[in-house]
Amino acid sequence: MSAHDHDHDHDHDHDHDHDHDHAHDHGHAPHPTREDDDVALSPGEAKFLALKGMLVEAGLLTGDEIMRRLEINDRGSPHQGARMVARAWVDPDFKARMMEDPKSAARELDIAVTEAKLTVIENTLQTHNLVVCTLCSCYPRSLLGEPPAWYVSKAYRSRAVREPRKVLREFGLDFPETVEVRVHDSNADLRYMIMPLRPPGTEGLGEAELAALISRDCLVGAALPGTPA
Amino acid sequence: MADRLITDVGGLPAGEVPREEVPQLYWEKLMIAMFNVLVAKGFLTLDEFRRAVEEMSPETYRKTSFYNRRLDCIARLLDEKGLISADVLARRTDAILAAGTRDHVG
Repeated sequence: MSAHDHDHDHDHDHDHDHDHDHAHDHGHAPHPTREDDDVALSPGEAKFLALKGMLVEAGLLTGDEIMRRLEINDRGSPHQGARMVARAWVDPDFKARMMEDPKSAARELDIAVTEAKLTVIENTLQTHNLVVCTLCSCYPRSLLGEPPAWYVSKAYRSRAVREPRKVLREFGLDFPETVEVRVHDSNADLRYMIMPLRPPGTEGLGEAELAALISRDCLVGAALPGTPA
Repeated sequence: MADRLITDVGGLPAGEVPREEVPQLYWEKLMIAMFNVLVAKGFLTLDEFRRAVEEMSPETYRKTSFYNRRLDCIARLLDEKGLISADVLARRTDAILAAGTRDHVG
């Protein structure tokens, strides 16, 4: 994963540029990783199948190319971002490299960051950071996977930049006025991941245990890491 | 306000953020991968795609789901470029829907 990443990967997020209010449009069954045999064929899926068939017949692409790309896309998951943060919590040198060049630091953990540019922003006791993409759904997919529905919802995109504290309260995070809340609006050329504060009481934990405390939503500032059970 | 694109919603009033988790369907994942391949091979660019989304009428934009919007814009761009006929695509889509099966599709 290197030279060709940039060509074909940075598109993956940029293009999700519309709101995600489809929960009301059609039924969704929880089978994200295999054939939806138990889901009725929808007009959208039929159109996709027809288009794919035509593209293959026209020789513009192959089914194998699609499957290979699907495998690449499937590697993105919040666990990748959590691994990076956990390493940064325990290794100050790694953290310095991650803040300087996140893509290169990710490669140390065998994570290929496919986005054009990635910036990691660190939460502090004084400042909490929240990520949004107001125009679309730009998101560091290779570190976090597909964005959640709330992230691409019109309500979040609209309100996160206007009333972030209120939105955060709805997510269960209530920061005192002494903590500054900064909102970062992503775009096709620059994505953000948040490095949350390491929770107190986690001094004895190893990287894997620490990573398990870091949920998807922590990595965009919409949640705080858990505490050890 | 009048000059805003349909996608330009930052700062607008809106209701509560929906928190329901909505997993992707398998065909949606395949469609995204197909889109990525089309871009990687140079048949589409992201800027063209954004333009196609922004050209949607507000009515169509609002009533079309996230993945269907993506698919419609891909198909429209490929038709514009003379690569895939929208008419043929519509006929084949209808045929697949009428058959009601995912079999025999390449």
